[in-house]
Amino acid sequence: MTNELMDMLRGSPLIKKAIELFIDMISGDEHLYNEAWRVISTEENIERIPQSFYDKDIEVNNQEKEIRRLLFEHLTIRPSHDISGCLVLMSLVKDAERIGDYSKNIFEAGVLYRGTIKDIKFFTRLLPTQKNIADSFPVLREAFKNSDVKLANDILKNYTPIKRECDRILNELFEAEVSTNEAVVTAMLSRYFKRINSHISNIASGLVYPLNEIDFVSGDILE
Amino acid sequence: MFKTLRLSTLLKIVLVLSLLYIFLLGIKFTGTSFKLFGQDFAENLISMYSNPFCGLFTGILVTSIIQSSSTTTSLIVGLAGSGVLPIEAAIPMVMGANMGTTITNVLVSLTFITRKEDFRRAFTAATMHDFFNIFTILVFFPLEMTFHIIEKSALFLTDVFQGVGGVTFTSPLKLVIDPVARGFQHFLADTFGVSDVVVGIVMLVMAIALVIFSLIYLVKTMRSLVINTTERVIDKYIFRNIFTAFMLGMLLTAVVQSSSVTTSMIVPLVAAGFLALDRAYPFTLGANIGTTITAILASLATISSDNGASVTTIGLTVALSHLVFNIYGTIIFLPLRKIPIYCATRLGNVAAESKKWAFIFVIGVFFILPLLIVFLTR
Repeated sequence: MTNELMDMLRGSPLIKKAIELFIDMISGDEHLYNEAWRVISTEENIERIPQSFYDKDIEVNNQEKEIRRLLFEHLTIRPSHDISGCLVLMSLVKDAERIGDYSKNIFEAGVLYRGTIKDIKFFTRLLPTQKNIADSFPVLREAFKNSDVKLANDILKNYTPIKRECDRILNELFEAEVSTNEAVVTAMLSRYFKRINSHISNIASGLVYPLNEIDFVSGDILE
Repeated sequence: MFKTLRLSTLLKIVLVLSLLYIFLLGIKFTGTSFKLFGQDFAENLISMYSNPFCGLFTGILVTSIIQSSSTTTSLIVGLAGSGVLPIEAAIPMVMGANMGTTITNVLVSLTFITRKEDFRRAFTAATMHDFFNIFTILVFFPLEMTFHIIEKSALFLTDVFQGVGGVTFTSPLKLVIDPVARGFQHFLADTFGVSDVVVGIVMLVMAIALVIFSLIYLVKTMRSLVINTTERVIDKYIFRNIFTAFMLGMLLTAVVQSSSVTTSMIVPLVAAGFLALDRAYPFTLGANIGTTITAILASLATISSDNGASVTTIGLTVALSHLVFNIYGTIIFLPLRKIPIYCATRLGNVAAESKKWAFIFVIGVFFILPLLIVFLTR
């Protein structure tokens, strides 16, 4: 799919604009994800989600709409040009938008917990997973910027270990003696990390695989 | 890479010029062939189209079938330029061609038929072009028949064209077109020893083939030449305001020489809800004006100084009447855009609720009604 995406960049001003917006979307997701974690893991008492956070999420959503419009406009003017690349991008923007939503959910989990996440028993278990995901964003952005299959493959290699770690945390939670509040917030966070990891991998798969194979890694669907 | 791009662009420009030459040659062949059919044929044609309704609906019917007003109007210009068809008969045909070409939009809108809301918007966008033409014909057809206002305006513009040295400008064109047309005519007559009528038939068939072939590839080549610019300017200007949408429609169509191509391009945008009707409408009206450039180009092949002043520029006058008709229509129905948009919206609602009305509209307006009227008025 890399060649198609590179052709898209070369061929059409609308597609070029759409890809630039998509890279901005990934940056927006990175900001939302990191900010959500920073606030819930450092601030003592979060009353509500700040407006600036919502604004960023709205910006990501609007970018998704704008990318769809640009792709549609391009396909209307040049129906047979870059069609597979456009369909891939149309699919990937949904993943990028979902990452923004799950980052918002991380924030909401922190608000519901009414305390700092740092104090929960599973914090040290969650931290490496959180960091691994955070580290994926700049790699993903670079991979997309240069249509770098190697970088995209690096992200895909991390998919299964992160997914398994999220499942392990959940399994251990059933055995652990923690308060209901802690159990709920831990379960929610591990679940959100798993979902974000999947969506990041979906996006990376768009660079590596042909259109019909994106969202899959070695024949297995990216959950 | 840069050199390759430059070379391909250069090749396309050469191709455009070659196709333009073939197109003008086709127009010249049209005129020559009809002259060869003799005085009786010309008199029959004039008598048949002395009824303006017949001309109007023939224009609709023929253009609906070949889906290109550029082709129809260019052939009409060729006929008029050769003196076979008088201006009074040609103008209603041009009006009909303007109406007939909108069928392409409507056919594009039918591809959205499986999604009700998309279809509602698409059909509305397509038929507002029809309603613009219907209303413009309703206003200007009687005015033309009574006061010849389109003909007079076109004659005035023809004088302006002559005044700025337009006829002198066409002389070099004639130098490269006329000898080929004459040479081909003599070649057929001398080599095969056939009558003028047979030569005329062969040349007419060739003329139609050359015009259609050159226009198809002219549109394709021009489109590929400006495709990146098209994307950029459509995205930048069509959504901005009425004036930019109108100018974009006019200029883009003048470049690609096909209003069917440009107006069909915006139907999916309206269908998907990205483009509002009040932006699509001025774009369409601009495209109507832009498309008249093809007939004006065709008329360059018909201008001659050897038949006397009254005949020399008749093709140009007919071509300019196409332009005048659309300008007058725009002057009235751009400010009054709510009327055609309202009618199209109502029809779009009816068609979305019951698809059969869409098909009844297409078949009735573009085929059955014209066929019936042409048959009755012959």
